[in-house]
Amino acid sequence: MLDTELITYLANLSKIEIEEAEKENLVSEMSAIVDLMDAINEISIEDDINLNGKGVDLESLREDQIIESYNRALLLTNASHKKDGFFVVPKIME
Amino acid sequence: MSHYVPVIGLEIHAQLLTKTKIFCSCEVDFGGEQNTRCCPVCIGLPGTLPVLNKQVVKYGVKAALALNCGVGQYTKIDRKNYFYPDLPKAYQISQFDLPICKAGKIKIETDAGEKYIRIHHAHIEEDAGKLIHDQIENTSLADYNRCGVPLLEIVSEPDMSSAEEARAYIEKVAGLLQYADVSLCRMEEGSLRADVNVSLKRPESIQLGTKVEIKNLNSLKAIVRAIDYEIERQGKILDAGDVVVQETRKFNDNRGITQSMRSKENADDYRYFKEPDIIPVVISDDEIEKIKNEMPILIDERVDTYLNEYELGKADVKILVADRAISDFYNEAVVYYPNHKAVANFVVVELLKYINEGELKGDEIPFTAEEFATLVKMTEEEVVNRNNAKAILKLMIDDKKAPQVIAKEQGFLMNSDTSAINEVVIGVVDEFKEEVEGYLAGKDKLFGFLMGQCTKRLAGRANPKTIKGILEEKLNKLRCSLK
Repeated sequence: MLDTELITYLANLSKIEIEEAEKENLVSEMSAIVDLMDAINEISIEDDINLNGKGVDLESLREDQIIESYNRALLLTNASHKKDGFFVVPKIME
Repeated sequence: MSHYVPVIGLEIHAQLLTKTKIFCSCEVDFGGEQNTRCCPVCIGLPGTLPVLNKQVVKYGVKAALALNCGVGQYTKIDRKNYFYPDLPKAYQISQFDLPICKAGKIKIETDAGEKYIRIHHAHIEEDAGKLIHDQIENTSLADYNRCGVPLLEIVSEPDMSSAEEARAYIEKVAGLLQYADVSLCRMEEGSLRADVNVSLKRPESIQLGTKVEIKNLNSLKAIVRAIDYEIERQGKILDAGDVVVQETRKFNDNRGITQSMRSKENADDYRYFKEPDIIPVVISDDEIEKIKNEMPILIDERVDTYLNEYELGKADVKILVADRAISDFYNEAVVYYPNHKAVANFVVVELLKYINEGELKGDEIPFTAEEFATLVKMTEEEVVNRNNAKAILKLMIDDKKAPQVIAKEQGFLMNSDTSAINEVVIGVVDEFKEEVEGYLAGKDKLFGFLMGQCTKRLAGRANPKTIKGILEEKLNKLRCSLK
């Protein structure tokens, strides 16, 4: 069951801040989404898998061939914090 | 602690031997400066799309065959969500309910006998980056070179009940993957890591105890120590009437203990879902058959040949197959000199000495198997003596010359020219008159002394049998002339 407690939990997992006032509204919005998912879940896809797989053939996957990596400075362009070629992130405690 | 039965399960991560990463074409290689083996896919930029590497799937199939697992012929890729800055996308692309390797089992051997360990499944996934903690700035530095390095995670059932069994299981899995050409499985280089689950239960209980996970163990020694420590720690908790807390712990190698990780809250809620950017892969029977035919000779078959056809000792066989490169080298050497036992003995006693001491690597032996076989042959046919053969081996490593050349240069070749030996024998008989008389008077032991003098003067350049023959002949002549 979706309730404000679960919304708080999910917000915590997603590391996003949600105002207390928003929670009730989110419960009804999320409930509608979950109901839709439940409806989709009821469709049996077992037959699909067994019939033709609906997947890609092994041989059509990417070949294991090296393409040169990107220039590091270019990759770091968008990073707000960088140092000596590293991305800098807030300190992580173990 | 004997009133509890340990229940141990393992998750082994083996790096697959591809040239490129699992979802992009960046090169997979150890080392390299930080963030130089990256592209927008590796660093998780929005809008990028992962493209699955064919070779990763092929290795997955090979691993399934080697580990006696079923092949997941319809295999799906999933997202595993967790927040940690070593993973720039905030999810890891992995597999959940339709993995590439389905259930199977492998046989291990310990001092207590044989046992089967079931494999729950094995799946392919991407590795995460590396974080370095910057003490001065109070920040963490992220290097994403390892992001997207392809891994195979092999998940066992909790079928092991001692650290020894866990060790045997890891060695077996590593051997099978090495021999299948799927992974190097070198713990010291990081191409094999393991997470261990340990819990204790009462012998009569069917229900498993609360399990504790120990993460990121990167040596066999650490795994054994961590398991032994954890069994003892949990036993003490249960003895005191307390309950074991379900948690993730890390092993402190210096102190030999496991410690609670103040880990991410609710970390186990990974909210897996199908990776929408990658279509499931279908692997046909024909493709499996083709891969089966490409498989090299696996470890069990080699053990069988060594034991039953070559009649090698069990201990030697275990050592020979422990490293794929060594077993390959041995197999090639016996083609040139099919004295299986002599070559095996020389590999185990002489060659492995340099490898165990870290002077050589199994896959970087600086001479050919043919040259090695020649050296063993020269020793067996007494062209050089064993001591000099050891010296020649050392020079083959250092100077990279052929054994025949070294033997000649160093004067190690046994002298088959009997006139030189004759001369030395006459010299010794002349010089040690007292000992010769003593020998002739019945002190048989003195023969050894005289023989020793001759050998010393010939300094390993003559076949001892030839020297002995000539010395005996000389002494017999003297005996006759006395009569």
